[in-house]
Amino acid sequence: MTNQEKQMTETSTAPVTAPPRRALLDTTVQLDRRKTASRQKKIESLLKEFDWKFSTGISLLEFKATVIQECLTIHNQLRRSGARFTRVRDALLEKKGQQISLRAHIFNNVLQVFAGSFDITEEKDHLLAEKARLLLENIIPRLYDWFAKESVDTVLNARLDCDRAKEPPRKKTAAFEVNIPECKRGKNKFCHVEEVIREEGPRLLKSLEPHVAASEQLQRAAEVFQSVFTNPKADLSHSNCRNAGDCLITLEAKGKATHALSSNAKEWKPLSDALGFEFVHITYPEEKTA
Amino acid sequence: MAEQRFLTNSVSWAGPATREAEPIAKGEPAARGGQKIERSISEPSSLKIATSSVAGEGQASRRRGLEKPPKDIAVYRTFRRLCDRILDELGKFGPFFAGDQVSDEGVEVVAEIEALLEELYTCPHGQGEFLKRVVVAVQSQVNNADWDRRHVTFLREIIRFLRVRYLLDEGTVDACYDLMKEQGLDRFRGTIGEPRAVKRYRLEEVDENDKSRETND
Repeated sequence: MTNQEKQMTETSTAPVTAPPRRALLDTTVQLDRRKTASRQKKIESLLKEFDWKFSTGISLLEFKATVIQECLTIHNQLRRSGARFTRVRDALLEKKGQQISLRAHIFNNVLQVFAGSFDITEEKDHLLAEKARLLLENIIPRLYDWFAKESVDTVLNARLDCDRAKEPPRKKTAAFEVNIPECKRGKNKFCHVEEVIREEGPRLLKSLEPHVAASEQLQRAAEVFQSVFTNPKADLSHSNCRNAGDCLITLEAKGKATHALSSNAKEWKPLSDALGFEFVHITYPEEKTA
Repeated sequence: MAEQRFLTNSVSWAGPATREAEPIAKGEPAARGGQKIERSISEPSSLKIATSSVAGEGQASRRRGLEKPPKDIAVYRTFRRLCDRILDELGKFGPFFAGDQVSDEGVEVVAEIEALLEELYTCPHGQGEFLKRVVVAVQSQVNNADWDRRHVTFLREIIRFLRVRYLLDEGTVDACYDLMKEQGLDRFRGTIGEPRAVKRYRLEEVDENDKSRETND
């Protein structure tokens, strides 16, 4: 445990005061804090009730693999010679993928800022592409910095020590480096994920047993954990860790957080119950009625 | 006047440089009138003259200079002029605030500044794309937005910072984002952050043969 984490987990010895409330934020909560003004306002208002707020290295890995990766994908297409905004947008939105709505969100936001009421000529299309590319170039490293250094009091990573989380996006001459390289033990991987899974996994899976059948995510996590239990030489890469993301995030914060905040009750409520967090379900009912 | 001062100084000068008189991009050796002037990026205010000057060559150089000022001076002047024009426009906001918001009457100034920012985007001042990156960063905050005091303050501060920069680099972009943060603006507006827009835009496929469009035009 780092000194900062020790400081945050010690309760006050002064005359009776409430113990510090320490919130663990799920990755989607982190994204929502930047996505829309209404969600940001709601979450920030809620976070004022807490003394400390945490995220984790695995959450930062997920943020890199989703938000930052989508920005990089769009940037890579826009920087190609002769790129046109409308064509890049059409091509990337025609593909199927988990993050397609996030991708559309980014393209639409670029349009609101740089478009106007005009027929898009070839020249304007190139200009839109150039401006979108330059803006993404500006914000890609800043998104990482915001998450890692500003968004929370600390990004917990002492237990799992995820290496991929520690790597900020780096730009070469024209393109950014590969966002998340494959993990190879001894070369670029020095984390403790398998150790933590062997230590904490059996007890956690037992607590989650009643919920696994109803949740595909918990099933995937259970498969990852089992592969480590049964193979002493198991060597997970980041994609495996992401499959067990919710479990690993909560394991990292075990003993440190008092509350867990997520919009995903299906997995996070049972995880919170298993690991001793009070679950705070974040919803946006005003968006459904609007 | 500026050209004469510069050309005189290029032969005999060994003191601190004024920004308006420095036409050479730092770090690059340049030849002028037979002299090779070398400058390192770590020495912003000193100038080494690598070879000795010859008076005749210097005079010929001055004559050539008067006929055709180096391109970088002209570009830098354009850049400064645009920044000064933006600052002038920002000075007109005084009576155009309704509380903290810019009033409808102030939209005239907003439109003028947006147009000047577009001109600034195409100005070839500085190395690489740093000026463009700063301008799109600024535009990400002010385009299609309901301006308030934060936008006016942000613009004033970034343009004041920018106008005296001869060397534009990543630090300039960093400074721009720091100023956004100071004013409480959303740094990710226009990418991850959904902008609160005055007008909503969308892409719509248009049929070139649609005769009703021709009538409306």
